[in-house]
Amino acid sequence: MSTAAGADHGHAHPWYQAHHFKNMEQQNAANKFGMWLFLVQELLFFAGLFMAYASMRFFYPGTWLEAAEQLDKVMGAVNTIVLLTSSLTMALGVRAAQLGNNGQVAAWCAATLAGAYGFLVIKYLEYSHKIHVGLLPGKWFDFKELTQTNTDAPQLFFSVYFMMTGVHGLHVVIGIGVIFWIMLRALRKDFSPENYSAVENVGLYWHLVDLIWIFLFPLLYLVR
Amino acid sequence: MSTSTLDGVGHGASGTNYLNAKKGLMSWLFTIDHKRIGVMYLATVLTFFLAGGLFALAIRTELATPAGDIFSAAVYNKLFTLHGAIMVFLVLVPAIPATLGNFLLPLQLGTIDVAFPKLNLLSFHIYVFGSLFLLYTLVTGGVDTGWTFYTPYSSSSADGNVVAALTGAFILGFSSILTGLNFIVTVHKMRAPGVTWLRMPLFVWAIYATSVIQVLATPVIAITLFLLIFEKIVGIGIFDPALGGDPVLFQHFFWFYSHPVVYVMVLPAFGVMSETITVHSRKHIFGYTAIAASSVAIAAVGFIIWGHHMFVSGQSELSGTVFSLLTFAVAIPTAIKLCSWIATLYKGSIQWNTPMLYSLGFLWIFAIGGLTGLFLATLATDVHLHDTYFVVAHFHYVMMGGVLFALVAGMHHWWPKITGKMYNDTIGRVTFVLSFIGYNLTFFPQFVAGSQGMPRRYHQYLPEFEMWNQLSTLGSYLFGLSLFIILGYLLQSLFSGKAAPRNPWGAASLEWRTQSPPVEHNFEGDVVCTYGPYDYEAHRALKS
Amino acid sequence: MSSSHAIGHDHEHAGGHITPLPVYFAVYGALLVLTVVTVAVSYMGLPPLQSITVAMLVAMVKATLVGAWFMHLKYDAKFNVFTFLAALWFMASFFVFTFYDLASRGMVNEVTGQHVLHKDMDEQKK
Repeated sequence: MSTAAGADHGHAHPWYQAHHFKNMEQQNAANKFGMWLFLVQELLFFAGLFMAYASMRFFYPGTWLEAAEQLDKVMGAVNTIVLLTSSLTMALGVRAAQLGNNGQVAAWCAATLAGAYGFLVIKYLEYSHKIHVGLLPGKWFDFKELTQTNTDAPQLFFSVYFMMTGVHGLHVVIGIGVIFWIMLRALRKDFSPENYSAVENVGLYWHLVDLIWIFLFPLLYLVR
Repeated sequence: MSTSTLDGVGHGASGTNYLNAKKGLMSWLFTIDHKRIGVMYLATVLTFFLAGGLFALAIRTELATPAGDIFSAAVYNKLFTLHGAIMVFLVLVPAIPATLGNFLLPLQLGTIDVAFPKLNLLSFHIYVFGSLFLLYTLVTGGVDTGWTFYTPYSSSSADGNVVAALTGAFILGFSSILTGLNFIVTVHKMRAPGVTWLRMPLFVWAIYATSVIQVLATPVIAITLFLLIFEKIVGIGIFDPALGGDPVLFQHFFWFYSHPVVYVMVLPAFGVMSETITVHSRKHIFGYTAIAASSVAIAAVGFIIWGHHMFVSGQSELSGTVFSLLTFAVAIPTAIKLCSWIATLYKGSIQWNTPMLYSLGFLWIFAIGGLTGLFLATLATDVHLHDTYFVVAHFHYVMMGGVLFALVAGMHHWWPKITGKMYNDTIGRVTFVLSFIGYNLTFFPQFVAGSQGMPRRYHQYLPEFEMWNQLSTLGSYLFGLSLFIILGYLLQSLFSGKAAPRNPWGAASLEWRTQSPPVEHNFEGDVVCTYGPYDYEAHRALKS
Repeated sequence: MSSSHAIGHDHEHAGGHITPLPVYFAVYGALLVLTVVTVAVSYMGLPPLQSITVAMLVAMVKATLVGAWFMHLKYDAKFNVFTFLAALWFMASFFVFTFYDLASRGMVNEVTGQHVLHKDMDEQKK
């Protein structure tokens, strides 16, 4: 009764177990559940963008069909495949971590990073084209072809397009940061079959970024 | 392994505790101890409450006379905006969950800490960081949009630093989300052996339901504010009618968060009530399961009633009807709680001490606040009452009165545990009378003035409302004074209060089994829970 | 903790459920095929309503594949699945109630707000 609990239960913990968890099972389950709750808030965050899309499309159905023609379906499809591939490599990285193979974790992380950078490069090409021709959000919109044939609000399509892909792109950038961190830790041989929840959680995050894109792609590029 | 002692008399001041285990400012600012983080939140929240309260007193002073003689209309607009924004984002949302919740959740679950202690500290730092943006807004000329930031006013012609205020609220949201996430995982994964779901104190149930709302609703306000920031600086037009957008859509976005968030404020208050009322009437809580389930029900139903804020703002009549009906539905779980507390009091041996008095005060105030909500939920009467002082009085009764009386009750109830000191109960009881009169004197006349048609958010009004406003202003001074007295005697108890025993109220929940104040890792040994949090017979039997 | 794991090992152990490699590749293959399908459908010139319905159905199948296998929901604690579905439920309540307002404006009293006008203009252009 006189000894303080927590700092030392009398038996040694592995270095990766936090003092307030009783065992790794509890810690891993808590980590994963916490990550799922984080993904829940991510989904609700994107829900606002999807709602903005749905209501603007509802108000201006004709505009939507015409404005979406300005997006490059091929680039969008290629980017979809790039991101799906990076999701696969991430899943394989998590699998390697489950098996305790740190070298493979680092390799798959590098592959995933390549995919993420590829996605951003393609996105940059798309953006620079749109900025060049004046397909810009809101009050910056300056694309004569659409404004002449359509007195409605084509600028809203591009507001929604840039907000959705911009917020998604921001998540890709954050993803690059955390995957890089996992790669460094794998090179340090941090992970083992008992301690891989960091890899798994980053994987979950990356798959969610993929999941969001799976919906963004048809909504924005494949309207017609 | 040993269970901790259960004796009612304890050795409060002896030995180390979480307050004196480590020393220095840095040991506080970078602590990962949930108890210290809770105390830091409490100090910060109360500081902001003082700021928001001073704005309120300035508003009431202006309204003491019908003429707009002290502040110009423009300054008055900024005063009520800052009052609202500070009170909602900086005070009421974290008021109970981040303070008492942080302190008590692991203790009541019999565990060492929350699931993610570092994340908990990060939440606090994000909160402080976000508040800096609101302070920056304050010193760079304020903002006059109202705390609701309605478009198109906020996106086009508003005066002041709207973007800084929006950024502040955006950042504060993440503090709230991470706290909620942390608490949900803590409840699921960190309970001590024997703490089953139905042996969790009702305060924990309330915090749990609150956290669910925080995680689900706050991201939507985050994206709303994010879009509004871009609306303001880039002109994306989604909410701006001049560019083809829809300002009513903004209200949907806004209230999808901001209605559930009133339950983020008031559910923890319900949780405090469920503790204080049973402990201080020495009686097992009536309807434990019903109260626990109604917390979750309120959280769930609270998500689909937001449209009652938009009855007159251009939303469709049909959707108004649906929202009106659903709003009445949320009265059911709320009434279940209120009736259960009253049934708990029935034939209990009521202790007329300060926490109990504030709890009874809460019941009165919340009953009035809740029942006047029904007037506003009714479509036809709302057309008349919308944007009058009736609404102001209603939401102050539920949000401010409800939360504040519960917070004060909870602070008195857990003060011995948090600080290890007993306060002067006589002064406490006298101050209660003062604050209760002051509170009702402030806000009850506003119901009358509002129902007679006095609109909100104007710095001047027709002479016929003068009497009601003067009563209200008088009451606000009285209430402000009583809050300073509370602060005074509580702070004084830190220096000259008696050492608090382990369990001054004879409560049966786990937090009272450790010393006051608790040791750094909460309990002296591993905790095993063998009876429910309100099982006073089992508690006494085990003790003797 | 054993350090060697047979591929396709099916029960729970320290590393959690290990999904066999062929399953990952099969899921990836299905995702690629569905991407090609959804792009191909978009060139078929279906009316907008049919087009978006097909696109969303395909996207949901793809999302289910990613969720079940890449995110391990198929083998995960059931409560994590529930958490995920709860998020979708609350998203749906946001969409449904907001959309009900947008769609039912002007159904009881005629309103002459600009959105009705814009909608009319869309109709006129066809």
